[in-house]
Amino acid sequence: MINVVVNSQVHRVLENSNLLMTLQLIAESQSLDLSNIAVALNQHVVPKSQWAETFCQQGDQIDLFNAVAGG
Amino acid sequence: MTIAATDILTKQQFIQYYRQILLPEVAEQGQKTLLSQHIMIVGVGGLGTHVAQQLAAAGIGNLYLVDDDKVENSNLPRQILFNPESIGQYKVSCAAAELIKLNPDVKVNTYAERFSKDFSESLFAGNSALKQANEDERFILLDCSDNMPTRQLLNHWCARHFIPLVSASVSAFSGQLMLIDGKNTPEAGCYHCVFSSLDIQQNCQSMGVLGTAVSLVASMQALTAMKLVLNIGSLDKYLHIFDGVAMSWHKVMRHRDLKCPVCRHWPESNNTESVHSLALPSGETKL
Repeated sequence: MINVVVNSQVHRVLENSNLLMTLQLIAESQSLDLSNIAVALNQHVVPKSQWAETFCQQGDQIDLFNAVAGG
Repeated sequence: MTIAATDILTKQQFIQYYRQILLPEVAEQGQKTLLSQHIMIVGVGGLGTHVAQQLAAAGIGNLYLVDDDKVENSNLPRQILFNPESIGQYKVSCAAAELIKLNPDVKVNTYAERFSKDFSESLFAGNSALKQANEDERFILLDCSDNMPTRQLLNHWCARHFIPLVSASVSAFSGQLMLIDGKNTPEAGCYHCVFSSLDIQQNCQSMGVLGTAVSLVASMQALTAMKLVLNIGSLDKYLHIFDGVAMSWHKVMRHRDLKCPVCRHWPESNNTESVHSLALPSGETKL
């Protein structure tokens, strides 16, 4: 298991987890709609099409952002 | 951006814009560039009224305001170009009248229409000056709209025509800002590369908002536009995130989604490194 930090909270995930697996785990526990968020890994936005190809490492910082639409 | 040569500044203009001209990054040529620039503001609400006021005051020569809404009483705490007498009138008309009073150098074009697919397709056909400005790279668009379908439509239109887009949004105490420029920074992708959903309800109507937070995000949006027009600093490839409670700005680097259906026609960039190589563990960043 490795530790990743998601929105300032530490989560333990399997060592070979990709970003999509990690996000699905968090979405289940927090009722998060993955279709409406952007994800940054260590300060870099990861496009949705690359979530399954991006593997998490110990200490990764993952930030989730909801889109803001108001003007 | 191409620096366009225009007529010389009048003595009155030189005095009026002197504090800007004093900046080496602006100078007299920069002021002429501002006066020859065309900026379209879509959404003349909280963000739109603020950026329009700031850009008009700075001497952006040609503004295009697009909004089909009329002024309501609930708009007044944050939509600073309106007053109680504006209620019931088209926002674009009231805003244009105030902007012309603020700076007679500015030509304000108004469209009391919703930015729709049909509207966007008729824009260049119906306005040769705008079409020419776009061909001369003197046209940019500011997204100040209040809903996700319009944001996606604007992004699509700008991506198709390689029009630089400065997208800003705000609700409650949160704001977001990004510069999208398919010609100069294709590697940063478009709006759809970051947010692809059409169904976001996080807007001012549902969440509430403070005018002061709107003003801050709008100032950053106007500054981004002016820096782009004047070629000041490096091109911005970040998603900027404002937290009005923590009083902080945070930024994350954007990357193009190579499978994005909106910007797939953009040229390849020298900086098309994968996220794997850019994202380092332990919060370190290469850039």
